[in-house]
Amino acid sequence: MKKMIITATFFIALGQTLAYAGAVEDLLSRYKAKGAKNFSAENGQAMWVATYEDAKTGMTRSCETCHKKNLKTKGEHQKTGEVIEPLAPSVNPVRFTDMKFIEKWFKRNCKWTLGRECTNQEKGDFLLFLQKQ
Amino acid sequence: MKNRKIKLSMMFFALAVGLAAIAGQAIADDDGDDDGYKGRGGYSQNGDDRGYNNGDDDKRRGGFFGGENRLRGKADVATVAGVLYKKECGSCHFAYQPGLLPSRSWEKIMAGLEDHFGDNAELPEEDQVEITRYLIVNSADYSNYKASIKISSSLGGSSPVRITETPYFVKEHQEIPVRMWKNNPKVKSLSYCDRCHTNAKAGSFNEHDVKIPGFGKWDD
Ligand code: HEC
Ligand code: HEC
Ligand code: HEC
Repeated sequence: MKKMIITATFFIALGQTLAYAGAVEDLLSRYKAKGAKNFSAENGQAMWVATYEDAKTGMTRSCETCHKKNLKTKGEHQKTGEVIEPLAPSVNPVRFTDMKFIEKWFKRNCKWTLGRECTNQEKGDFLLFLQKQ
Repeated sequence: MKNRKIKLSMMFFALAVGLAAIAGQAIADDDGDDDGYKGRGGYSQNGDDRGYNNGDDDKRRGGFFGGENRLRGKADVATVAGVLYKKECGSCHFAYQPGLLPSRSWEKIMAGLEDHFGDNAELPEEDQVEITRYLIVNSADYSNYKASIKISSSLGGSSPVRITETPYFVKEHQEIPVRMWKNNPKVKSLSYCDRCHTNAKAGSFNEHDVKIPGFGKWDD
C-alpha cells in the first residue's frame, strides 16, 4: 500500500519526470518492440565484469571501473573520485526508476567503456542483471 | 544522485500536505525554468539587481532544495540556481558557477560533451540546449561579481575550456605546493574546488575558508 501511495505521489508531483518502479519493465518492453529477444541476466553479468580496451588510450575499462565489484556498496568515479551511490536497488531503492536517467547513463557509460553504444539486447541484459542486485 | 534524494524528500513532503505539494512543486519548477531564461535579470549589468534576484530565487526554493545562499553577502561569484544544470553538471564534480567562465568558453565546452576531458558527458539535445542557454546568460560576461570580473579581465582574447587554466586562477593557486593537491589522493586536481573551498557551493572562495583535506586550514 505504502509503495502504491509513494508511486502515485511521485507520478503526480513529478508529472514530467518519469520516475516509478515500472521503469525497468517499460524499458524492457520498449527494447523488445525494437527487436530484442528474451533477456538474460547471465549475459548481463558477463558483460558487466568483462574488460574492454580503449583504442585511444590503451586503458582497460569495465563497468566495474567506477561502480566497483560490490554493487551493494558505494562506487567511485575513476577520474574525479566523486562517490557513486550503490547501484543495487536492494540497498538503494531509487535506482532504475527513471527511464530518461537510465538511458542517458547507458549511452555515456557504454560509449566510454565499450567504445560504442550498447544494443537494445545488451541494455536489457544489463538491466535484468542489475535489477536483481 | 543528490537531486534524486531531493526528489525522494519532495515526495514525502507531498505525502504530508497532499494537494498543496502539487502547487508547491509548480512553483519550484517554475523557478528552475526561469533561472535559465528571464528569471535572473537576463543581460542586466546591474550587480545589485542580479544579486538580489539570485538570492530571491534561492529563498523561494529553500523549502524544497535547502537554500545554499546564506553567504550571499560574501560571495565572489553568483551561486548556481539552475536546477537542471545542478543535476546534470554536478553529478561527476562540483557544479561550477557559470560566472567562472565567459560565454565563449561555455559554448566550446557544451559543444564537446561527448569527449569531455576524457569522459562522456553527453546530454539529450533538449537538455543540452537549455543548459547552454543557462550558462551563457549567467556567464562571467554578464556578471559583476568579483571573481567573474577578475577572471574575465585576465583572459585577453583566449577562451579556455578550464577554469583552472585562466590566468587569474593560475595566479591565485600557484603558491599551493603540489603535494597538497596533485599528489594528494583526497584532492587529485585543482578542478575540484569544493574539496578545499569549504563555502564553494555558496559562491565564496575566500582564502580564509580553505581547508585542504589531510593538511587542514590554509594559512597564508
Ligand atoms: C567512468 C565511470 C563509469 C563507468 C565506467 C560506468 N559507469 Fe555507470 N554510472 C556512472 C555514474 C557517475 C552514474 C550516475 C551517478 C549516480 O547515479 O550516482 C552512473 C549510472 C549508471 C546507470 C543509471 C543507474 C540508475 O540509477 O538508473 C546505469 C544503468 C549504469 N550506470 C550502467 C553502467 C554500465 C552498464 C556500465 C558498463 C558498460 C557502466 N555503468 C560503467 C559512472 C560510470
Ligand atoms: C560523466 C562525468 C561528467 C559530467 C556529467 C560532467 N563533467 Fe565536467 N568534467 C568531468 C571530468 C572527468 C573533468 C576533468 C577533471 C580533471 O581534470 O580532473 C571535468 C572538467 C570540467 C571542467 C573544467 C574544470 C577545470 O579544470 O577548470 C568544466 C568547466 C566542466 N567539467 C563543466 C561541465 C559541465 C558544464 C557539465 C554539464 C554539461 C559537466 N562538466 C558534466 C566529468 C564530467
Ligand atoms: C588544493 C585546494 C584548492 C582547490 C582544489 C581549489 N582552490 Fe582556490 N584557493 C586555494 C587556496 C589555498 C587559495 C588561497 C591562495 C593564497 O592565499 O595564496 C585559493 C584561492 C582562490 C581564489 C581567490 C580567493 C581570494 O580571496 O582572493 C579563488 C577565486 C579561488 N581560489 C577559486 C577556486 C576555484 C573556482 C576552484 C575550482 C575550479 C578552486 N579555487 C580550487 C585552494 C584551492
